[in-house]
Amino acid sequence: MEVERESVKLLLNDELIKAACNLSMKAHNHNQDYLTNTKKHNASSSSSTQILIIAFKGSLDVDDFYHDDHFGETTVDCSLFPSLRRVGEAQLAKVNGSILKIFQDILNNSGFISEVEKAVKEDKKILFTGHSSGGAKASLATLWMLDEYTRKRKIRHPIGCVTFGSPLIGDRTVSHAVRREKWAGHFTHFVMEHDIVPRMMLAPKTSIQEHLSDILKFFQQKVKPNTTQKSHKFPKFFNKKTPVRTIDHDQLVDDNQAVTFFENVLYNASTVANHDAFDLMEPTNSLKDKLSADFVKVSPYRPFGTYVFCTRGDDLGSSSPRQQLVVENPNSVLQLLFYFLQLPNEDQDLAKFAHESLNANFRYEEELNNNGLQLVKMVDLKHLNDHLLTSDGTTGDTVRTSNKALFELTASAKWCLLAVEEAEKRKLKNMDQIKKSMRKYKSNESEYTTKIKIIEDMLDEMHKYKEKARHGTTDYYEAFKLQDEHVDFEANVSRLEQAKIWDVIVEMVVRKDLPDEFEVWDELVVLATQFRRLYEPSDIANYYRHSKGDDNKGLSYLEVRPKRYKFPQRWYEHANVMGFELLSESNFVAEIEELMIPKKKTVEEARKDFEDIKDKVQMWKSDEKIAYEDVFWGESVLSKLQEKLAEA
Amino acid sequence: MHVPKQYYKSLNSIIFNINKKNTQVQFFGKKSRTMNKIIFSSELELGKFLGSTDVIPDAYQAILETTLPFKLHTNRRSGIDVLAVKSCSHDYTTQFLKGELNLVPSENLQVDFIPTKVKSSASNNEADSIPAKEKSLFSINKAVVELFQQLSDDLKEEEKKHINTPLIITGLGLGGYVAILSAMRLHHAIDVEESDGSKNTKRPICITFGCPLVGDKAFKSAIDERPQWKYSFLNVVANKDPVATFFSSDPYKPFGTFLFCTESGGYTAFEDQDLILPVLNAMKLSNPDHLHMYDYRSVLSTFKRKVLYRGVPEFGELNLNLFKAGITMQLREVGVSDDMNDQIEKMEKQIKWSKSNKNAYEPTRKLNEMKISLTYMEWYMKTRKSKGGYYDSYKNDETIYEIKCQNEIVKHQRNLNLYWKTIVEDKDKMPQKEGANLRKRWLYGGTNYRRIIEPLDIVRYYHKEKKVNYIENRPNHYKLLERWADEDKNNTQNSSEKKRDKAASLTEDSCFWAHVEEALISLKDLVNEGKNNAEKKLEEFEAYVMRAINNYSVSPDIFLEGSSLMTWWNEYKAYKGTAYASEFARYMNNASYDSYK
Repeated sequence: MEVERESVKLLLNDELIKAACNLSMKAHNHNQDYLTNTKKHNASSSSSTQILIIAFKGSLDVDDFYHDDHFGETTVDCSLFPSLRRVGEAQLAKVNGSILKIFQDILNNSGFISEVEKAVKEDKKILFTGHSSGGAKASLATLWMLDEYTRKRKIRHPIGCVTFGSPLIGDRTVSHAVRREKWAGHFTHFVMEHDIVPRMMLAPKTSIQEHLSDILKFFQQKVKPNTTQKSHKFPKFFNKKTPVRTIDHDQLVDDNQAVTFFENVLYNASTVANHDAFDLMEPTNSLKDKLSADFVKVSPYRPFGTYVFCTRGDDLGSSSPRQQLVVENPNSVLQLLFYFLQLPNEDQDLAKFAHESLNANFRYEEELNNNGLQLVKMVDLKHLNDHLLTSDGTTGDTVRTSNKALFELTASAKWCLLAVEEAEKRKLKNMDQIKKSMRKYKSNESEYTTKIKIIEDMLDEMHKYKEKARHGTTDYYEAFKLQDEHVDFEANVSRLEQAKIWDVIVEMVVRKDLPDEFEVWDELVVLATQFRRLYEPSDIANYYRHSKGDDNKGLSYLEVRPKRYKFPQRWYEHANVMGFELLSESNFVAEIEELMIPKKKTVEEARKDFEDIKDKVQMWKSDEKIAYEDVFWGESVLSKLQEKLAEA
Repeated sequence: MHVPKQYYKSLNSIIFNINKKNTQVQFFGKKSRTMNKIIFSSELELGKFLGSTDVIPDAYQAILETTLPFKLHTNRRSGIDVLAVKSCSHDYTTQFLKGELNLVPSENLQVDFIPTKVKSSASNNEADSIPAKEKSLFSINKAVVELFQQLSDDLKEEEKKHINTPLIITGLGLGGYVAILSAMRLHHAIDVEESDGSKNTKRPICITFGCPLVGDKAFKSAIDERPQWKYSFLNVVANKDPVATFFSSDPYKPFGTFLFCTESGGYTAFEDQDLILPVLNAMKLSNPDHLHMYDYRSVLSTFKRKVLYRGVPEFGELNLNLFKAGITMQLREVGVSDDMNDQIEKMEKQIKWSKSNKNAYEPTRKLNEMKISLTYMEWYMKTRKSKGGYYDSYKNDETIYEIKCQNEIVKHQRNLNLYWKTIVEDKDKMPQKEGANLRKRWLYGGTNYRRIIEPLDIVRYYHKEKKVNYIENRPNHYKLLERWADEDKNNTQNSSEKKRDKAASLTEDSCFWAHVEEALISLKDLVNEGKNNAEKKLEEFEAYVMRAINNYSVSPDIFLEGSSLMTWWNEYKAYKGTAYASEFARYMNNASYDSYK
């Protein structure tokens, strides 16, 4: 589905998914946190290997979903999930707190880590799986393993994750990070068209708590084998011709409970879906923002990974063949999560529909046994929007019949799906414009020849300025600070010309106006790093040149460091899987300048800091990833400080 | 001076102005690609969002539970405070519906918290310089004032408690008038609080049900100019409500967001002001002239039903124009027939135009561009020291070389002037207090700009345009920039602030050179015609310069050889004779300025 980067996807097949689903349902009935099973992968092919399936058990107490009254989200532990953040802003993601807690306990207490470790050593592929909240845990396990093994230890080990009716667990930052790292293909989430569980976390606890514990008890009953039938294989109602009628309404959940629960989940799903769709349409009205800031609770959770919607149109009871719709874009998934749950028309029996949406969470095994993963029936949403628009024409008709469920959606749902696509196009267009400002690309050369100055050319000029100064009496840092020569003035203008471009790029990142993978785009990281190393000293020089004047409020450069340097540093650090540092090879000069300001520190402290910086400089100098000639090594300022400290 | 080629400009047109290019194509060539860009009417989603939440029904419930003139409720589920105004008496509403209450001008009303462009600070004489015709007063319906004044003081107490906590203010029918004014007054109080540096403020939301239009165009624009206010007003209007649709034409103008709804369960939000009036009018025409108060309960009870069920699956025949399809969908929702094609087309054009012109990143880009222009100016100043300073160098552009680099400088001067004039105008429209808060952030840059560029404007004034008395004809944006800088200084000045002990790098009084020019003129008058008042003026000028020197508030550059000041001094000395020994004369004769640094 996507270009493979460092991570290796696990190719799924019918047999594997069925095995995962069976194991997931079985896991509910055992005391262990998870069950394992080893299967042969691609038994027919010669490159057959073994695959370890780890199925997590679901937990079905109210506290296992919500640890507070609203959505129960919590900031992720960044040592466990270093990638789950926005890189530039260094903003950590949020995930469901209860499920995170359970997963952390599994990591710490069970033999989980050693099991995984063993599988990796034995070269077994790993497939995490789970049903309902078990699926949520499987997702966390996958995220953890992708960070720990694939990114940190750089082990190219095939990892996959399949969930069945899993609730949402991560916020939009998780969703962004998954797309940025190109991990979406690792996750396959099966969702029945009307299954309530994947939508549940869109509602705050306050809105559904009245019946939540009863409904969870009902779920528990469905997964436990306390009836004579083995419920995880063929629940009895599936064998009847009219299964819906035989649902045991009376036991734990009555009509009123089912309807109230269903309605509240749907209302809140609508709030979230409308909220996001509104933002996609380049609105000017800020009433919605004001309302969702202080007056309306909007769920933080958003989908991530690849979703497979199993749809059957409005034909509830019959065993008419389902269609499977594959969607990856989280915005589209969110819209579909809402619109597929709506009742097809006002003639529908609401109570029946509500009960069905509760029962749908236990239909995955049946679905897979009946239909399997029918690749023929898979539809990729990516290019479907073009077809959605043509009312006549043959392509439209074939799409229409092969995507019945989609075509039965309302005009407003299609409207939103179109908006999602338009938003993606806008982002790509922005990225393309940035691309054009970065380097000369052959295809464009005829179009914009000598007239344009691009980032790369400006970097070359700064290089020359830097080199020239090195042969003179002062280095380029001092020369820039003095601003005596015309070349210094030109360099100063060049500094601002670069700022003009990079400030806008950074703002685009902050406003989420660029594709998710923008910040890990190799070419960008390389160029931004070069820019940071060459230009940041000039900004520092400019800062300390001016703060002689009136506006010096005593802030050091590092406290007001422009985002156009902060962001590139974080991009670089993320690309190289390093921690986030305050001081780097491009800005340590500012620290030296600070040490030169009297009274800020005692002489002893200054001496110690000076030594520390010198050590760091040595370290950076020996770092082969740092191009020696890009960096200003602080010769003039270091020797000045040394003199000063010697005098003191 | 060698100035680098302006290659950067073309760079920017490639990177950031692509949209602009498209606009042009759009205007001239109908089949341009941008025409295919899908434009969405986001109001559809806003309407759905509003309908899926409990905010609106909760507000209405609070009104129903209010028996006193007004009451503060705390919602049990959400914990949000709702200030509900009881709907006003039947008799008064009847009187209103008979059309007995008209627009009244705001002049004599006690609604001073509603900002207008009129400068209220009488203490500042300079404000009078704004011509009377720019003073715009607004008009609002008499009922608004009468109803609000009855409750004004009591409401104020409730408002005060909610500067830092979220509040919904709500009212039904004419009660909405009270709610709106109360919300405006709270907004104003928050503006004041924020200008004092508070960051904990929470803006209120005003939800009215069937509130008739309030005032005229001037009233609407008073609100529209404040983004923080503009989007906090929501008026829910049922198509059968005679009070809400009572005014549906000029001179009344709607503001804020409207949520239209029908008893059959349709509802949709409208934000575009041009479309609200025709919709109101269409609803009014379809209504029989019943004089009754409308009960919103049944309409609101159907709101959430729409969320449960899927709607129509097709866009209809409008598949190819989604924007039009969207608006038509909206109009159908609220039972207004499709005879508004003209308005829709106009609206589409407007939105397309504004969307393609709106570049969210323009301010950031512009800011750096101005920094570049200022860098050019600084370099110019630095290199002109040998020519008697940049002021006199600009004045005497004799050589071709000088003219050439002056052209470059003039370009930057023009860019900077254009930029700052617009900014100052925009900020000046903001109400006194609110604007002050926004100003601080860029005032430093503004002051720098004023001190560097105004002298060049003075040169143009005296030497290119051959005029006199610059100070009296000084451009308004310089005046405002200086006044704001002074106000800011007075506000932040500590008693312990140290006095300057070094010469300023830029002369603080940006009109310094205008004084010098006037002194040169006075001297000419004195020499040629022996005018007495000229002599007095010159003495005043001497004292002025001397004061500035003692305060270190002038740049040492004014004493550069060949500067206008030195030229003046030499002529003045010749006129006065060597015996002349004022404080300034002594200072100059001793060349004390050599040590002025």
